Amino acid sequence: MLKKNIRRIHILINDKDRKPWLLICKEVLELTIHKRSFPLYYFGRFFYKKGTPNAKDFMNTKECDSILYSPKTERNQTKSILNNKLYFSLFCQSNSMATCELLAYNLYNSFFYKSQCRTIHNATEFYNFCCLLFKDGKNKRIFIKRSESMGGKGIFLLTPSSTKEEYNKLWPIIEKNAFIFEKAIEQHKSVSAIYPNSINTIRIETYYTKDGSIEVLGGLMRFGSGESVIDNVSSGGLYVSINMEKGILMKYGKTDLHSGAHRYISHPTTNFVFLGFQIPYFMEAIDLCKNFAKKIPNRIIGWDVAITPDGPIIIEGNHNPGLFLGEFSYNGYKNKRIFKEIIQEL
Amino acid sequence: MGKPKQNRLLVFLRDKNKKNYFQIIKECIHLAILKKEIPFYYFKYLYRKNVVNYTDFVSTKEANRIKHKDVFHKEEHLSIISNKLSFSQYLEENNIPTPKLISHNFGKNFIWNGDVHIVNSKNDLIDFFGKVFDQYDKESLFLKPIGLYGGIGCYLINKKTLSKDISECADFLINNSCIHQEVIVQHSEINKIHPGCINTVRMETFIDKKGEIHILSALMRFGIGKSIVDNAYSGGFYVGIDLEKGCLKKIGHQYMEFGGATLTRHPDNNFVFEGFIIPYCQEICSLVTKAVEFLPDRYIGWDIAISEDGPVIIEANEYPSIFITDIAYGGYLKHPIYKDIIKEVS
Repeated sequence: MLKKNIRRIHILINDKDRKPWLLICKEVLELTIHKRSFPLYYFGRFFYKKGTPNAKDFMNTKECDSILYSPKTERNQTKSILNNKLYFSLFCQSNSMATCELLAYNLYNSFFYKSQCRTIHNATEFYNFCCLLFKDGKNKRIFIKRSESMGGKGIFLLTPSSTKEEYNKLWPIIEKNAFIFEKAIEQHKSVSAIYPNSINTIRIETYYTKDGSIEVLGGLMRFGSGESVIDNVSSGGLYVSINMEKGILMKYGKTDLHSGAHRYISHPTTNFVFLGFQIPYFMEAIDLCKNFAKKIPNRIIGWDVAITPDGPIIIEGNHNPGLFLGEFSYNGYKNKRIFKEIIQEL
Repeated sequence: MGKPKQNRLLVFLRDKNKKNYFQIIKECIHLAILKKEIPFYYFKYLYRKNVVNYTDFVSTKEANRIKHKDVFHKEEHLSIISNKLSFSQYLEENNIPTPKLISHNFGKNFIWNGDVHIVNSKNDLIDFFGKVFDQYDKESLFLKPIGLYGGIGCYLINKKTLSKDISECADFLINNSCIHQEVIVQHSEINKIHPGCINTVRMETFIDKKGEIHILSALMRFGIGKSIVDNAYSGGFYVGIDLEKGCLKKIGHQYMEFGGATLTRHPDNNFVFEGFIIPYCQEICSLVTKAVEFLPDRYIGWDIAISEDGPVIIEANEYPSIFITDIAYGGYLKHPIYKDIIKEVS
């Protein structure tokens, strides 16, 4: 932890994009008085950089947590659907909700495929099992995802050309946990043009109001970078805020502080400029999230949506999304009418 | 609605079948030294004259250690077992016989056939279930809360008396999350004992360190009077099963809170338990063994109904009441496998 913090401070000091130190100190002091606590979020969300909106309009961590973890927000029965990828997949299947195709799954050494259970003891048997998945369904890419994990952790990609060494490395992790095996979806080519190596998902936040209607809070789009096959920001990806009315990307792609606190106007791997990119099927993605939110009526959900050539598909829902990332799409919660209702109710 | 609870101390004091006080004190002291705890559990059953082997029974501390032993339970299994909706969908997905899931609700959101119906009032509920009954060719539905145990919050609604039935459960339904399942048609032989509810078999399974599945003990539970559930906590009682012969044992036991009666016949119709051949007993054992393969948690209490066509799994309990199966077996500590269980948790 200490090492991580030292790195963050080092990044902050050397950031050429930051405001003058005097201004930073002034703003931090004002925020400390205004929010009644030291504003770590000022640094974590880049308000120390030039050209950023007014930090006072944005939630700090305490305000965000008080919404997410309020007893009025938490619903155990729906949270348990969202928390477990296997359960989520089965629930969607059972209720005709469009999500990734579940090929197989394992609970430790018990592997389940086409309603058959088999015990797998070693990496060779695991390799043979995966070969069966590739052969049977003519699958080209399979994502293996740990059933209960977040932030892109525990996600691996297998292809028919994955080597036995890769399987040997993977096996000790697989047999000690529970994973789902999903058919990798085909991404819309205009989204792949920005970054082709990962499924670049949109995060859309929904809020289930008191009277049962669904409001959309904020949104952002995430992209992997380098060689990464996942787009999660906490795993090194970057995010771009979305103009929610028009469904277009805003100016900057950002990495988190730990990954260097970069702000890019174009993708660092492909040089694709973000500003103005029209997200295909964006309105359909909003409708899909609202539909899902009615069927899984958790008060707040962060939906991860992928865009395929045929339309949007929900990858997963998060019961405790980091609401502060989506805030940039509406310039801070103080500028979003629904938050008055949320704070009043909670 | 269950039987009213009684004061356990009064039940003990009034019990004409108890050992003399000198013997009770002597045995309690012996147990206190042996088990290193105050043997409150002794007063649930072991104080009775017919209990000679009082040291063969699992103490409260031992039972708690077993129930909550972390190597016996994995989070990924528990998230399926502890949620009746996920459990139902998981079994259906794997073609394991379970009551068909017709619809379910999260509070006001009722989900049926992939559509969401918002229900705000008793009349909305009557409309909703009216539509369900119209399409679904059965006469009754069983409603169960997703996260509760002990038969609490269960309702049976009938097409013919829908308005009256909904009046009784509307408030509960709209304010909770429930699954709505088809009603099992109980085997006619079981109906001879008690036709008023589904009388289930409780079977406890254990996976040993080598991965072998064992059925530890089994009992059958019966409702009484007008109760629609058979749970002991709802005033019912249980009779041990002789698994080798596939028949009921002699004595039925009721929880102390409900009178602690021991019965050799059903109180409603005087049906004698001893020797009653349980239909599909072998099939029940096979089904439960298969279910454990699909949900390989090391210690589970399974609830199974017996229909005309065979056994059907109702639910699984990750923290079953070891007390009742202990008594049904006649003292778990003489069970060859249980000695290993105690060793593992010590």
